Amino acid sequence: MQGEVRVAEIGIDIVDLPEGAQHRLAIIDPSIAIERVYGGFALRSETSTHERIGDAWLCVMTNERLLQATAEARRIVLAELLS
Amino acid sequence: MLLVGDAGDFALAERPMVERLCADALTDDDRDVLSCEGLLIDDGDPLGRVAYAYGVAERIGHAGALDYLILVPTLRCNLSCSYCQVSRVAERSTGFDWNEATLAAVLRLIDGLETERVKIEFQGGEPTLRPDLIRAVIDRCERIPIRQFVICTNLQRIDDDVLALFDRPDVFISTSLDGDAATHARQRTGDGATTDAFLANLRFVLDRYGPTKVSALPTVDPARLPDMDGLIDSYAAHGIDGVFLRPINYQGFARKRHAEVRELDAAWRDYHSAFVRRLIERNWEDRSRVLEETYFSICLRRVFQPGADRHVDLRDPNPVGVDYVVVDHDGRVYPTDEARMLTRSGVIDLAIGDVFDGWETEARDRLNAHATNRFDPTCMGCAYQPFCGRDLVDDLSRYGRIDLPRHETEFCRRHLAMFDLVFELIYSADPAVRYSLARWLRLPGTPTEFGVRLS
Repeated sequence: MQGEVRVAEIGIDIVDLPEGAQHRLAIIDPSIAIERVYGGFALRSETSTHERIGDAWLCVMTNERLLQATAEARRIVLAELLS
Repeated sequence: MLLVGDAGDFALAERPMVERLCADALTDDDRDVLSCEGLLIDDGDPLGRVAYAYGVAERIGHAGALDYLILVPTLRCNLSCSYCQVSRVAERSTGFDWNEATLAAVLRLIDGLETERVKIEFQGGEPTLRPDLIRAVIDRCERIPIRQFVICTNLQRIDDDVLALFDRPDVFISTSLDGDAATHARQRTGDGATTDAFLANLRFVLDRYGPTKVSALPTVDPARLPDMDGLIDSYAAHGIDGVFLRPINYQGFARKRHAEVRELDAAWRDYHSAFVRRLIERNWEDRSRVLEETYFSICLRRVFQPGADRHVDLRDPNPVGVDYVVVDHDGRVYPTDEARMLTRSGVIDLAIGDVFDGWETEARDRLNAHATNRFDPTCMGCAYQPFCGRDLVDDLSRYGRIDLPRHETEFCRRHLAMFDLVFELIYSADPAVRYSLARWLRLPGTPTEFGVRLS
């Protein structure tokens, strides 16, 4: 229908959304808006599909976990190589 | 979904595997395939750790001894382009050429180079207004075994002195060709006669030396994007296969007259992407020649050939005043040509020293304390970090600061779009795409695939 805007949305059941994760989400898909809602957050987009928003969120969460898990090992290697 | 390791190894994974990766629930098979692709190191795998460290080291830019000089023997120019990035001065101005003391200091600098190879680029102004200074520099480099000189010229006038320089086998010519004659006249020369003189000289040097000695770049006005085939044809007609699609640089006169180029918008990125795709189509249709967009090829090679490229605008770390410097018409030394332009615009003084007393200065060290993206919180989470770079001067130019979140900078947006395109094409099944990628990577054949897919 002309003029209709479809908004895809997924709900995120977490208490806090770190700033780094918000940045990464903006990089992966700038069309996704983040809004705090009761019980967590909602990720909405007027141009991305529900599936794509889910993929973007999965990338963000995977990134966050891997960065935390490997932070110390990466820091040691880089410090050695850059010294 | 694309998985990329710190060393630049990459693979495309299906969602279920990424879900297991996210949940720390990888299967043994997952671990095997990820290890095989260099994307996972098990605790009991010392060889894997060494390979990882080696791969990361390969990705880290190594600035060696000083061997690349950009020299500005004069700021005078015989053209007045609206987007002149260095705010050049009129041809008859005085006090904008190297004086004897500056030339002597430049020659001492060359005498002190501890290197087996040197590349010297003569910029301006219009450097061919002072062929005597160019000659003096070239003569002084005789002791260095491998030499390359690039004269960046508008090719408006070629007299006997200039021709004698061009005739040298170690001299290369770089010029600007903005598209068809009308576009070139509108953006640069201002009238048909001056444009005709340029085109005649361009034809003359191409006929005399061939396209391997002559390169050209277009400056593109993002507000008036040119017809793609017209632009490509204007290069192809001269036998030039490489087009470095370069938007107006936010420097010099352009800051005032083309302020809109501070932020390049989606239209520019779409144009660039479509331009690369058009080149792919044309390469497939006519396989007698290989057309390429130079910056896309640089980014592509950053993915597959770490260390093979020495493009100083895209490397990490990107220390300034180490392996290359710019010596201006007054002997001041800048970290990059853009820094010189920015200083000349009166925005910020980015000189790091001068050719008389050197540039191992606090100014240089303060810049170099921020020369890497390795510890930037945004870059650390970016899949493209191993291939990307750092450009402090670009950030200073656009925002007057270097501490904006990376994804809010034009540098980041431009390279995100660039590497998005690179990886989209890497995983394309289209044989025309694979054909062009292989040629741009200088491969002898065409691989059946460029990237691994994990199931």
